[in-house]
Amino acid sequence: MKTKRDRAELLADKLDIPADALGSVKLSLCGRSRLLIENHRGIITYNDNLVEIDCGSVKLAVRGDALRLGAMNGSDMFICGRIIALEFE
Amino acid sequence: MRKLYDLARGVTKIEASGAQPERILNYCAENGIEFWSASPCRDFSITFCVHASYADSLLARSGKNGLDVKLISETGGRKLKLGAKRRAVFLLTFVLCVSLAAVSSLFLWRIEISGNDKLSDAEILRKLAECGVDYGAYWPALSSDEIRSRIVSEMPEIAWLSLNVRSSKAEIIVHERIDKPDIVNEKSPCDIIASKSGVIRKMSVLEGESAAIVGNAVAKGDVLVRGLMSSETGDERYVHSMAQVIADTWYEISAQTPLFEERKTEKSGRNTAFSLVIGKKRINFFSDSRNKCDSCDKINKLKYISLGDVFVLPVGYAVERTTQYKTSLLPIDEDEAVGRMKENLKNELQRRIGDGQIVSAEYSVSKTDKVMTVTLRAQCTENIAKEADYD
Repeated sequence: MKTKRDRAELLADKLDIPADALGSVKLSLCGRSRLLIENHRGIITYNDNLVEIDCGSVKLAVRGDALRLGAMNGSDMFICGRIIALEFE
Repeated sequence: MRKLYDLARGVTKIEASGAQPERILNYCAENGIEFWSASPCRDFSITFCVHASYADSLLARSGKNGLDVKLISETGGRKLKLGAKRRAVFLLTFVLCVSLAAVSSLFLWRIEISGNDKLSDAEILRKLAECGVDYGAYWPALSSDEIRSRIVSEMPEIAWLSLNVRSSKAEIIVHERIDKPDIVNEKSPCDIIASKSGVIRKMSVLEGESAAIVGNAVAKGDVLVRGLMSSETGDERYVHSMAQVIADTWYEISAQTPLFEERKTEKSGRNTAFSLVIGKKRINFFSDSRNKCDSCDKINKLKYISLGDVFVLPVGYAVERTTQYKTSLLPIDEDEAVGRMKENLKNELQRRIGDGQIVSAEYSVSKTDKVMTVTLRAQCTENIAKEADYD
């Protein structure tokens, strides 16, 4: 079953516009120590080695060392630390 | 700046613990509550900082969604206000002092003069006072250009002056006028005479007729080059003689020093008196400041209260220290005295010969009962030519 966000991504593809404009999650990775997540839905797990973020239809797991939540608001989140892997579940 | 802002708003450190402590961060993000320094401190627990105004709403979430929210620490903000209320007198005094310092910085409480050599500080200070630059003067009303113009016009010894005011300190930099050198009229006829006695070693005559030759011994005042020149036609003409005459000269200079000198030895009597200085007024905390004994040293020290060099308060203190002494006749250190006199004699010789050179020098020391004499005998080479105008 397609979620609202999946439908938004399909619509964005059809209209040829950026998916994040319609609310899809957008990740910006700068090197391996800074990660900006836009259009998130909240934080699920937070510790030094793992940060799990609710991205609507998917769950994003950021694995690494000394991970820190640099800043966060209702839509954006900034994670810093030594990022080892990004996993979607 | 950020730290000051946080201190003013107040910062609270909060610990959220429970099955999912991250929920409190989501709550903050959704409600626009700014948080920072979020870190998981142990299992199922997160600490973070927020501004004190949000603390109550976060603490109210305790018990909801299985979360336990606790206040760990609070700094600034409300605590600062409470502390300020308790220390009202202290704060009032602090504000008063800061205000006093700020107001006093508009007035001159220190005047420093530099660059003067011929003129004394007192002379310059007197003239500055006439121009309005005095202790306690309101410096924003002073015009540096006007003061400079007036002082330069009224004191011919000063070529240029700069007045810099830094808070309550005025720095006066004086440039004294350099005396004009003697202007030589190269058309007026003159002879060249010997300024000192000596034996001529070299003569370079540029104008005039030589009256001496190399190897001649000349006495002070002897004519070396004549300005009256004869010609083959029989006419005589006067010229401005010019020559360089290098001669060997001999000097004998003596210096004397007594073998015993009176030295001060401190007695037990010592007196210290304090005064409070407010502006130009002085409040003495002692009855009589006169120096009552003949053999007393009196040292005065005046100090204004200041914050660095910028804020000088018109309040200070003066310490007057009087120390009694007695004198006793003691023998001098002869080696040290001889060394000092030799150095002085050499400097004096160098002053007398100017650009000349010392060829050889020897010192002799002689002593009587009370006096020691050091004599310098030296041979030098120098220019002894000196212009002598016709009367």
